[in-house]
Amino acid sequence: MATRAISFKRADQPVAAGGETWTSGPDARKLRPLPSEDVYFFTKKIDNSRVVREADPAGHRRAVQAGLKGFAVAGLLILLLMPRALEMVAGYRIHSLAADHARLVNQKAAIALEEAQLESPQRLQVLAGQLRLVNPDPKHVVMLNSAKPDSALAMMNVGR
Amino acid sequence: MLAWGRRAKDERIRERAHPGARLFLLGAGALLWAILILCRLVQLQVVSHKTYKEQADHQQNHILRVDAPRGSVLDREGHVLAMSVPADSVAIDPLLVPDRPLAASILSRALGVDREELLGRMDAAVEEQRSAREQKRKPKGTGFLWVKRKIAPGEAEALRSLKLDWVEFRKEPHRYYPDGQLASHVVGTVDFQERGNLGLEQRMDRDLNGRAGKVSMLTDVTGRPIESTVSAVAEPGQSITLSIDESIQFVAERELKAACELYHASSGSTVVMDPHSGEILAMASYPIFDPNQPPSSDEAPSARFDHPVSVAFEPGSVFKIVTVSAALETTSLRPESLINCGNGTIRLGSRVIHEAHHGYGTLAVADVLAKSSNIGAIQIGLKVGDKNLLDYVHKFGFGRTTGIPLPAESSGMIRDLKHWGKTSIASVAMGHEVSTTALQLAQACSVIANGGVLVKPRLILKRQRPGGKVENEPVSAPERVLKAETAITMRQMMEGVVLRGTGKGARLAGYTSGGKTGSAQIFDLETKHYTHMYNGSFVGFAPVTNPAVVIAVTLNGVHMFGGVVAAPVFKTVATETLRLLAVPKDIPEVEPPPLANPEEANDVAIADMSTPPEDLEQLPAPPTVAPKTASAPAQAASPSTVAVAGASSVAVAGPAAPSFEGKTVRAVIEQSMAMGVQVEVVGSGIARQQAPPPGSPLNPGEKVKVLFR
Repeated sequence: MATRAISFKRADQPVAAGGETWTSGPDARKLRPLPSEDVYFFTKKIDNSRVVREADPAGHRRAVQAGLKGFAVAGLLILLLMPRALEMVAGYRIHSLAADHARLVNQKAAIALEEAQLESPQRLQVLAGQLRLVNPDPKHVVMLNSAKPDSALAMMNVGR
Repeated sequence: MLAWGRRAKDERIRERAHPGARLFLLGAGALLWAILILCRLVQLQVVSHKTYKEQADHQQNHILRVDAPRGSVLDREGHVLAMSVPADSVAIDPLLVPDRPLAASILSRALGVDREELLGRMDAAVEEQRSAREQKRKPKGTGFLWVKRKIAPGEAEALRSLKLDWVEFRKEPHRYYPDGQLASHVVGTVDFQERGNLGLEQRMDRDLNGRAGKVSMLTDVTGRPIESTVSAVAEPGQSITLSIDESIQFVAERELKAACELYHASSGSTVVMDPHSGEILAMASYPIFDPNQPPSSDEAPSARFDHPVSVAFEPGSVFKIVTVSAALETTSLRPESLINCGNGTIRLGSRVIHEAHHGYGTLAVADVLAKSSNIGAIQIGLKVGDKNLLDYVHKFGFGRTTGIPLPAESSGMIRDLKHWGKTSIASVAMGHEVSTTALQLAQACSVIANGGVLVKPRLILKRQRPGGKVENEPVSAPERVLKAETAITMRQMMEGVVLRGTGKGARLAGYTSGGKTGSAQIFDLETKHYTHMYNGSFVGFAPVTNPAVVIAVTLNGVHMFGGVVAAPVFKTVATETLRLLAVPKDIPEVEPPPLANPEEANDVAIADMSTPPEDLEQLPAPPTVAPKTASAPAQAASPSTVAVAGASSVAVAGPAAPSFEGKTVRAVIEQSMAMGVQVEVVGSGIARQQAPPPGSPLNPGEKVKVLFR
């Protein structure tokens, strides 16, 4: 625009001696005015190095208060929404743990089953046969003091 | 262009004239936007609230069924006999399968299913979907197809490793019996839906099953659960602890199976019971089956019968313990009282009953039991009388169920007195015309073993829900049947059966034992005759002084006697059981001699039922009962005394020491007085040891030291 203002004759310049301007004259060869031709820019150097902001404690207070209010509102919103958010997070966590618990319970049951299968008397008998173990002859069985429950336990363990 | 410039200029002019116009327009626009939003919100949340709520609920809220895991069945030591573990089931949607023939090949190889059958099912499902789409009708089914349910963990692992995205795994509870055939008749089985259909699983199905619960689940868009609300709490099934001991059960089943196969028995039963508490330590039945496998056509029809509980049979001579007990309680008969058994034959009208052996002549009551004399038992039964005998039969628990928590328990058959025939008392006295189960026999023997009270058999010790309180099963009050002294006398008499009677095969090393053999002829319903096949039985206990265990063994359809086929089973099972229960030994550990002649165990109750019995009044008069202190000549007539006399003839230097083993103090003193032998009595009870041993020549004035326990 500045270039244009330099290139073309400005419309608001004083009218020439002939009393005819390029815009108003009948000369059709002359350029028509452009839109907003009357608007132009120019730079003006302003020295504001000596300008200082006027102290405005009231405005500062208002700004701080507004900031605090904003924080308070945001805090309130967070406080209102946080439980729900935490609840959701806890829900995810709880159900994840519940799934883990169920999985571990199933694993425990499977292990208990496997243990029972490994300890089954039929299997132990087969293993005993492979190891050439036989039932003790009755006279080779020495009873400990049967008044004590430990002796019974020892006998039970011997039997298994 | 010019017009546009003018308009802009006009605007600027207006702006200068009305500075809030633009702001107003902006505010108006914002308000309009807000109103539109509000309207939309009203439309969504008020007008269409129900519709969208339903849609949201459908997408986010899920009602899930929470299965209550079926309770486990444990033995008395906590070993698992039955438990439920989630197993994988494999399903596919045939519409999503890219290559059905290939899929069928993969699945058939991985799961062991029939390829052609699976492919046919997949093609049929796809065809149904296609035709339904063409005909614009609702298809039958959803395209969901089970390939194989409740597969083994190894199969699931192998199939998962293939990572086939069109294969779906679903968890389903599956019942496992880790010990296989062990205690299968007691524990029972379940059907495919985990409903009990046999044994304890059937009887205690409600307690084992528990109650399923319901949970309302809120999920996010990915299906992850956020919130859950329990609308019905799942109650897991109770775990039941049985009185069965896995080790004793194993021994009982092993020995019963071996005996049944050795003697070609059609079926068999073994019951091991604690006589004081009534706890069933083992209950074995033959034939056996594996509860992990479904019933098959190869299986014996009676394999799933619980013979000890459900199948009643004529007990034969083991029933004589009831007859003799009733005699001790209601008559003046004592163990040493003499019974005239004649020449071994008795005629009851047209019915002839005879001994398995030759005639015994005169026998003491104790010897009637030891030698299982039929004539003696009949004479004793006649002495007792039908009313008293029937009364004691009922008191011993026969003719009614024991109340054990197993299905299809037989009460046996005890006829009312009005239905008894003229010779029924003779039949009942020796164990015919009645039927009992092996469990009832064990219960009756427990009466004698525990001092005279009838205890109710206990199979369940306690129950417990996971994480819950242990509920001990209540114990029924015992009923007094016999006086304590009668029970002790019976125990001593039954020990005589093992020491010198038909039950020698039941002698234990290190323990005293008592019992009674039985070999009841099996009645053929077609020919209306008793056959030469037997129900061979043995009921007994050990040790005699304070029995820790009662064992009843029965082999059905054998050609040998109870003392031959059942007593050895008792011996092995009792030895193992007493060792496992850590029962102290009460006699020196001397291995008893093997049964030399099977005829020694012949206790067959022979009863010719071919012709209707005549009136009981035609029976010969009952013999006169000898007084309690029998005279020396009367004693000399008893077989035992004869045997001693025979032994004395072997002596060279002086009289030989007689055998006092198994006799009471009174009998030993009487015998020694009759022979003129001095004895030194040490202790009380039954003669266990003597010095010098039987047959040794005695120096003049030498005493025989007899140890009683």
